[in-house]
Amino acid sequence: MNSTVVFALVKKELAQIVRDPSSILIAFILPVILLFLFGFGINFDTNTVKIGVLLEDKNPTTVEILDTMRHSRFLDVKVFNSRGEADYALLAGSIRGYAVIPNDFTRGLKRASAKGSSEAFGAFSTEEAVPFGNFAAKARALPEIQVITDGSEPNTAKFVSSYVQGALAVYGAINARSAPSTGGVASQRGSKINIIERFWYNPALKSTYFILPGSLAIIMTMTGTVLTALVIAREWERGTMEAILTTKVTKGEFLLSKYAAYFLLSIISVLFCLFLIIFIFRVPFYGSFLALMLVSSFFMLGALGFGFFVSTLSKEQFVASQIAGVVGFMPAMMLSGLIYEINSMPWFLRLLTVFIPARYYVSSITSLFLSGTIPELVIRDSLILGAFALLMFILVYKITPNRLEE
Amino acid sequence: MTDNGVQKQIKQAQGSILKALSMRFTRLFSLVIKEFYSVWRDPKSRSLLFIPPILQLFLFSHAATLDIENISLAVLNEDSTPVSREFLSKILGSKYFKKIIFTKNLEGLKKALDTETVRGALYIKNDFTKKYLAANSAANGNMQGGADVELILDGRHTNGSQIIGAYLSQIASDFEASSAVLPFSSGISSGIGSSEILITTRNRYNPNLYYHWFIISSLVGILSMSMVLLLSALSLAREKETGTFDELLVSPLKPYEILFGKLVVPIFFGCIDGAIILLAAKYIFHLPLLGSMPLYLFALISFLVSVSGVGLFISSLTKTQQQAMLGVFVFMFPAMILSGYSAPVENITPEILQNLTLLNPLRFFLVISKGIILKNINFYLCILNLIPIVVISIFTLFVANYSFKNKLE
Amino acid sequence: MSLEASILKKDNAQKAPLVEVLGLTKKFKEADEPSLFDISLKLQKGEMAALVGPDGAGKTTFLRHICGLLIPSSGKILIDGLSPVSNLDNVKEIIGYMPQKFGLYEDLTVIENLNLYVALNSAEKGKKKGRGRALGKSGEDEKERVQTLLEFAGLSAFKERLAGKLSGGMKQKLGLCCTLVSNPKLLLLDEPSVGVDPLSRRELMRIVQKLVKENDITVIWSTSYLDEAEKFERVFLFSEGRKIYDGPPKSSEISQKGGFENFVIKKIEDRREKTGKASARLIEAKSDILVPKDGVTICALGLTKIYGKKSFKARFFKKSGREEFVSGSEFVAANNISFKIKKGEIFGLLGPNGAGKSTTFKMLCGLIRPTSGMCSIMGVKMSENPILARSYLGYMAQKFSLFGNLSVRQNLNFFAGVYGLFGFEKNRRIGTLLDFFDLKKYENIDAESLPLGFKQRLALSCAIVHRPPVLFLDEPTSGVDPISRREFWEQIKSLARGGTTVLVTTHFMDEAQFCNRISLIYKGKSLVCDTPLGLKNMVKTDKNPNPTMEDAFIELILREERGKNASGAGDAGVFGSSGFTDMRTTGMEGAK
Repeated sequence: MNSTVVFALVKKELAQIVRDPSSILIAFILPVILLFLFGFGINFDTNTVKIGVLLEDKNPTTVEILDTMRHSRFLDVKVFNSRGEADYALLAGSIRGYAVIPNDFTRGLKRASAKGSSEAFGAFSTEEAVPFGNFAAKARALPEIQVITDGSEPNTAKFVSSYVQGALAVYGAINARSAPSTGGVASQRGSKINIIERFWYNPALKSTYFILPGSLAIIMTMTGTVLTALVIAREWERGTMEAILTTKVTKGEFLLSKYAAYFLLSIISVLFCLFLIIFIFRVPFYGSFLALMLVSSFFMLGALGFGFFVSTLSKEQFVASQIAGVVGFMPAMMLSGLIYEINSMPWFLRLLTVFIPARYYVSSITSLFLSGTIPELVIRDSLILGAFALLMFILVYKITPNRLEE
Repeated sequence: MTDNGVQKQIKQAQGSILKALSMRFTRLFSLVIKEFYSVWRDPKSRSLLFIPPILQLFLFSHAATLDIENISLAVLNEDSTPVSREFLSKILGSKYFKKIIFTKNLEGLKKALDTETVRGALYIKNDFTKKYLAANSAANGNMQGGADVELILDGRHTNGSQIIGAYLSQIASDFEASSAVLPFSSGISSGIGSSEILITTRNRYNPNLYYHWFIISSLVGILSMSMVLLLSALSLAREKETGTFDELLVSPLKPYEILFGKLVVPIFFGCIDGAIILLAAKYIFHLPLLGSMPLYLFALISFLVSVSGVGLFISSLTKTQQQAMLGVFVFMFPAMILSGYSAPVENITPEILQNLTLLNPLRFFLVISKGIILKNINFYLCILNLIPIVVISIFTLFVANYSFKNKLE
Repeated sequence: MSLEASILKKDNAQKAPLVEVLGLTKKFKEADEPSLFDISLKLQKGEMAALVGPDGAGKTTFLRHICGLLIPSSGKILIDGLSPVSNLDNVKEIIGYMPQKFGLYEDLTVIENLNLYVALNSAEKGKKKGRGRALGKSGEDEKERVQTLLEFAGLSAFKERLAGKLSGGMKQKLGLCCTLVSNPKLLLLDEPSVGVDPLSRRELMRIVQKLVKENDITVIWSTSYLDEAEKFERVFLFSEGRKIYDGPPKSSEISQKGGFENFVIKKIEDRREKTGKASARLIEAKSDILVPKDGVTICALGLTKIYGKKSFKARFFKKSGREEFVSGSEFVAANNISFKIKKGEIFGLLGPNGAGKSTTFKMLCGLIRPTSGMCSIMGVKMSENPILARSYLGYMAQKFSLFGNLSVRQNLNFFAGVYGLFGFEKNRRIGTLLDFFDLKKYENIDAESLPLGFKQRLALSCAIVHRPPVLFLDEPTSGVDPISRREFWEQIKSLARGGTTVLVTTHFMDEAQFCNRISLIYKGKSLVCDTPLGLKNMVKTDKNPNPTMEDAFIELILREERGKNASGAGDAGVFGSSGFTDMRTTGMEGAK
């Protein structure tokens, strides 16, 4: 290994990077666009849901229930006069669901409290929630509120039913406190086991807090691979590879200089994104910066290596960028566990995620941001990412030719 | 001038009009044929037609779910009694939870959470049984009674953690109902604020809330969009690279005719892709496909027209296929995220971005697509969402045509 | 290898040839025709040889074998007694290889490119002569060496310019410098003169000749220009992977056969007869479209194209001409070009790359709107009715732009259809063309995978499928073998006889003789417009009573330059493009 050669090559790469607007675009502009899109576009937070309410049975009790719903900060209530109207609104998508208080509601309520409460249960039944008891028999006697949701958006549909239940629980609690003896309506039965939920690491439950750092894994997979995918292919296309091959530069020197230059570029890009995440998006950062850089370095080396690999194989910029986009980006997006739950995937996909480096980076970086430095996690992920980077380097070294053919 | 002569002239005129028409038809027809072959005969773009859509359909329908199953839970049980054990076995018995890891102290709990070995941790204190029994025996409406169980959830995954919380609450409330180990078995559950409204939820259009119904009906739009964008943007860029674009411009084809030729073929392949997904939706994933398919096709085509206009516009700005790819990506990614697909439009936080979705044809097409496949929306609602798409396509076509003309100078 | 052994080896090398190739055969795929077949040759030290042949003859493949980038399927190569297969590292020390496109980093400056190659070659020195030299004193040495090379190539003034922004001639010289930094004994140049104007070509030739004389360097120079090869002492003629001639380009035998070109064509034809490749028949084209009364089919009047920043005013007040632009930013690509071409004429636009040929050409077929001036085809003004005007055109673009992944028939079908042919008429016409151009057997093959000569035939048949009265050909023969070229010109002449007007651009000087009239374009201006003979007569001197087209070309450009210098019109600012500066310097050198 000759330091003069490596130094000269690194200098050359850096000069090329600085002068090529497309590498600046890929390394800095693209990440920013993606970061903003992830930050604003993907949002699992509980927001207001538009629902309709239909009072077929209008009396003080039901109006009170309606008021409670109106006061819920999760519900944006619109009152309808007929099922037809509400159905149409649901069809048109202007509401995500509606609740019906049917005309025998008050009668049912009276009957229920007259019967005494001994065997009556408040119950929730969603058609899918089968495992929890069998309410059908009891249900007939009870006053009923129907919730109809728009299942074409399953996630929102779930929110609709749980928010309505929540609102009714609030109503029940108020009523129970003010007039416990009247057998008022309390939807939430007083539990004997109270689950007290606590959200560690992210008490405010802001989804951007993990999506933004986690998206760095996807963005950097993209940036790293696309950036380098073009590099070696470019040398082939422009005929400079031939010239390099006839000089005495060794494979090792050649690759080392490529790695060094692009590593430098991508680390700057990572730092730039981190700066945006921490200071512009104001995501709290509890971990050690050193550990973060360690994991990021290993991850970037792997991503760069993958790009070099694709690039050396295809020798054509166009093909290389396509492969890098499809093989690099798609799996990182789908299988890193950032957006979709790995645990819920079928076994073959779960197996596949083991080989997706972004998965480990996501877990490390979200932990470093939200829960501080967890040595086990950092070490485990660094080792795996390091191993991947090494494997990529060996592969790239193996397929980099000494001649035009082997 | 005799009548004969006039008639002859008329005939000649008719003949030349016919000739001009057939010339134009020939020109357009051979252009379209050529566009078709240049996509079809290239193995690279042919594989681009089918492999990515099928791969993505497979990946998305299996991987993309926001539900959470196979959950591991850490438990610190300081109260080793039959009641608490029964409670835990109830948890394990549900279909959502896969594994319970017992720890001896709070550190263990923290570690399991920290390292993401588990997604939630349950802390049962040593007075659990005592309080539970007390709550059971108390026959009054004291809401504060009851045994507290602390559930610590991983805030690094807000969505999943909230769902886990909901699961456990359900199990907890269910536990009392079916508990067999209760020492005082009768009359106890009567108490507290017992009450008495049944809430029945009915999920219209997708009764079992299958997530993949939602995904697949959106994928028709997303995948055919990416196909059409790529084909339309790349075909023009490729012609520019090889220099054949000049030949098109020199030929007597009018700019809008070239535009037409460049539109038809990508849209055709986009529709094929859409059809493949629809067939898979019907026969593999068993989606209902309720609405009218001709209407769907009409909506799909107008959607794809608007998209290919964007594609052609992108490629008129670029010189190489490389740049065109980058341009497609820059358009496609925001279009996907701001379409209501990755998150409902009303959840997009800065309102400006919500307004921005009004420029996104995909947003409207997704409404139609889900509407026709799952909801059977009527013609009027379909047209309502189609109007913005048509407006956008007129605009993009206009811009693309303008940039074409500009190329001709 | 011990010291003694290596000295012994070097002694041997003095007597043995520097390059020795024995029975070299290369097959890339088992089933394929070999790319190189049974090539044997010897080259002594200090010889300078041209490797000549059309595109696809195997020139590049051969050079790549010599420098060890490819491994032969069979046969042996020895460079200075060393095999590039087993002894690659040592062979690399001997060889300097300049690949096509010169192997330059276009986004590095001249000096950066040179420094890079110096550093890359310092590895050699470091290993050969110990570390001390590579790291210590060599720093000074290298700087000096770079300086010498820069001066040698006349690039000192352009040190900080990006390589990509250099003109073809300067790139070529820089590429050569980068190859020379390692002090090679054997210099391999792969098509160094592609895309370079004739002045720079002469210049490079002089530089290399000087190197051979002073430094005892051996050179193999590959080219597809026959007239270039004629200047060498020794020529290897390659065709379809075989060496079919090895010897001097000028001998009594050759002059008997009517010059080098005819000799080469005969050689290739001899080979072809063995393989039985048929050539095309001449196509007769009678164009029945009425020609304007004066017989002028193509007319250009004061065509001018200026590129530059449009001024603010121009956008609002629709100014035209020079006033449109911010002063100082404009670049005149074509300046007041006028000519009239009559029916049946072959008219050539001649000039180096970047002179404005293509701009003029594109204005004529309506791809670029002229800043001022007008042009008409068959009396129809391009600005008034472009669609009608274009319908008279047959257009053959540079690089034979065909739809690569469409078959031959599909290509023809498309062009026929686009020009409104259909049904029986279309099929008959396509059938005739396939027949005449001997393309039948390739009917269903992708245009991309056609041999270059056939690609050219297909491109021509696509351009004339609708029997256009006017045919535009843009660099129609670049890269094609001499036979195909000759056949091609026969076709063109035959078309012209049938009444088709032909407008052709070319940078092959020798092709100019096929034209009836030539317009010499240089720096956006038409210097002269005359018959080939007339041009030659202009430069006839006592010293050179029989000037070639190239001589005429260079002389006329030099006169133009001299005229400009004399009048002292330093309009470098107007011609802001870097491409011409280089030409000017070489031009002035020549003038001295």
